[in-house]
Amino acid sequence: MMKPRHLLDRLFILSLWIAALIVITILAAIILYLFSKGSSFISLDFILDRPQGSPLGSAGGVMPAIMGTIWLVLLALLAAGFPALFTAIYLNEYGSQRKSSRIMNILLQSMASVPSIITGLFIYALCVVRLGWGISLLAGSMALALMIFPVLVVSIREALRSVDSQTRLAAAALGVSKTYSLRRIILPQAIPGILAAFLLAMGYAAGATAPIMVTAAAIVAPAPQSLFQPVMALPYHLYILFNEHVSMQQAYATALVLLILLLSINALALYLRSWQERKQAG
Amino acid sequence: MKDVVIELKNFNSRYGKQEVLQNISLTFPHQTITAIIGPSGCGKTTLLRSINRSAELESGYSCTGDILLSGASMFNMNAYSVRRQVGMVFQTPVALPLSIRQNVLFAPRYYGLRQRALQDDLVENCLRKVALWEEVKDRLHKPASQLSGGQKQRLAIARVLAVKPRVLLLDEPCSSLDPASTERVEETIRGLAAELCIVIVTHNLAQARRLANETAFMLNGQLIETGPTENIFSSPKHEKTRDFVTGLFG
Amino acid sequence: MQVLKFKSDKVDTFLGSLFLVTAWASVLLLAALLLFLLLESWPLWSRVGVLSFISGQVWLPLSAVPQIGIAPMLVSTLWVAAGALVLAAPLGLACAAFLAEFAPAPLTAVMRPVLNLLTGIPSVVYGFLGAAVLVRFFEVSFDLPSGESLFAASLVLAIMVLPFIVANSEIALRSVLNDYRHTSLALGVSRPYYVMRILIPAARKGIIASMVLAFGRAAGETMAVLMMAGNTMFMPGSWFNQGEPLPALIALELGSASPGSLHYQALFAAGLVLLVLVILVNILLSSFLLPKGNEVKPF
Repeated sequence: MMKPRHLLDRLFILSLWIAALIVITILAAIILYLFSKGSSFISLDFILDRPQGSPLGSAGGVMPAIMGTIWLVLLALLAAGFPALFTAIYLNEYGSQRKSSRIMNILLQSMASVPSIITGLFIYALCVVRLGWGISLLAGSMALALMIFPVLVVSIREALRSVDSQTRLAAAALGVSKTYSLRRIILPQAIPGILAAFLLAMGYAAGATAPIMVTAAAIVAPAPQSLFQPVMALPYHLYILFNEHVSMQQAYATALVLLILLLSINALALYLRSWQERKQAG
Repeated sequence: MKDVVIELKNFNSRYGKQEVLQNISLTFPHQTITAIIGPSGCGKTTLLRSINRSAELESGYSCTGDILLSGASMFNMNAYSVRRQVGMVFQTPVALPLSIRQNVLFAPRYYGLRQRALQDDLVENCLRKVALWEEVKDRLHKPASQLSGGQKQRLAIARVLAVKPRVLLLDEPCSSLDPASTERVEETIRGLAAELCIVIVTHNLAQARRLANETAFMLNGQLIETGPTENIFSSPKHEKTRDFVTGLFG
Repeated sequence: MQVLKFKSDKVDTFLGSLFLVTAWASVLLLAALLLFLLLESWPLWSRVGVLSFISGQVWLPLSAVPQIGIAPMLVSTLWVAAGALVLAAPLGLACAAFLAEFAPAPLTAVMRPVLNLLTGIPSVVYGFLGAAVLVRFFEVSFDLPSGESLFAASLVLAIMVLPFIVANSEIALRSVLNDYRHTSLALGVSRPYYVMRILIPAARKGIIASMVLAFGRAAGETMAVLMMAGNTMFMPGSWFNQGEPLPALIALELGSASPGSLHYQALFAAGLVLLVLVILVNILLSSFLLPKGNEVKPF
């Protein structure tokens, strides 16, 4: 007589449910905890004011840090955007059949796995020391650009890839050139996905601390006025507030501002991406 | 005898190590519909895609032998211009993600058609040829994705006609359509035979018989027999052809 | 009616080569990065030697008789990352199997985007919360002078890499042919049996790849370990000792090392070791585990 494994099966399914619950609980707890601790300290003044008090930062707000982060991220996108777009187009539309693109893929994956502190180290040696830019906004945005480049390439390529290959073939069979069908058909189709890629990269850059810590960040600085001066940045400000025991309240509030900023950018990106997927499917 | 538009000479092709077409020699005359029949996997589609030079877009494809387009080797020509002159319609109807009008104008605009009046003429002309004009003339600016499968397929033919091809290749154009749409597409094809060289791949023997003047039978990458359609179906020379057209295998 | 001109598309050729050149130039930045780290650390390698640099137990680059070894930091790095993987792997795989095979559709529809969203939380926030909550908790409940430890850092890293493990493992599980499921279930076996015997073994390459990627990510992570591992330069004897992983060492000391000094060179050498470690892991990964043409996973 064969014995059914009902008990074992039930235990198995139960343990999976528990695992999923644990994961969701941990992650939900993190967000809820931050909201409960931070929300009471957040006010319009906190966002718009500059750091005050003694030690500096124990009162006042985070405006210069927000501005610094915005500038860092925008400059990084500016530097990495076009190269990433071109690389993704090359990989998906031109190189996908060549052996060399396999090598490029491996390089790209290795690039994506370079720890962000190493990116910082490289830019520190190259830009801060050798080129003499000093600890500066420009150096920091270069470090971030290098960090987001592979992520951008991969997600832009994903957006291009989701364009139906039948469409691509039908266009090519009409005898039009690659760039023409790229411009008329493929890029317009992929635009939501490409936008999502840029947003995701923005979020990734805005939250990164290690690379700017060694290339751009200052404990206190005004809102950015020059490319060659150090700037404040939200994630680094959070690190300083906590690590130098400036103020726990301010730290919680800063963490929450950062979290809200990044979660909204990410949510928008995910929405755009799913929108494109639905459009493609329909 | 009508002019020969396409001529294959000892043509072989392969994907990687796999031989797909072996030593095919075949001609396609002007103003004639030629049907290519054969069991699935016999290389019919690869043959079509080789003639349009879009097989080269896939990895691992290579070929030997020659294909002449109006007497000149097409491998000495620019691949884009070959594809323009040898239009191809695929099995699954594909509407480019543009409006109906822009679908037709997609390739002509690339080849420099800018004047509005000429564009309007071309769109109407091509859509009339595929009997789609009456159905869509009020919604030319609507996305082509809203069309039905049969309409999309006729739009695909119109899109090819818009660049004045000399040859029209059709790869099982009706296999995903219902009988009513199939009939309309067949009518369209028959009408176009007056001005084009048409090659249609089909696994539907009745369709080949209805449409084609000439029929070629392929098996395992080889051309077995070719001749006027009636001869192929009623008095085939090869045993394998007879087995196939009488439905013994396939 | 009209003339169709043949286009000799110069623009097309130009753009094609522009894409090609940009792609290679950008990707080869990686080589520049490696070269630069090598260049900046060069004098040190000849002075100290690779083996004694890696196995040296003492890091005193500024003393009169400098001693430079990164063994404690290297061990801390490996320990923290492996620990994070040990904690996260079973949970992540179970969660992925749940999502791929057992979760009710509405729950999947919520969980997947939420997990995706959470990958956007920056490491400094995790590090901050870990240090403010977890470390304090260890101090109070176990009556420790300091709650910072490799274990605490592993715990936070585990939470950080969980969403990535779940997402990538789920992709691997979903890419297994549906036919297997139909065939298996038609034989009358239960779903859990099918999952254990067919699904997970069939997806094992992708699953292992997701784990290896998570390991690399944990090994290179800076902020969380900087804030939680304790930053002491002794060889860690257990998971519950303190330590200073390589990224933390670089982040803490780079600002104070004067360019060109032995200290500066040593930090670049440490960076090179970390980079080579992570890249080796990746190259192994792409040559053995990922099927050809598999896309790059950014995280």
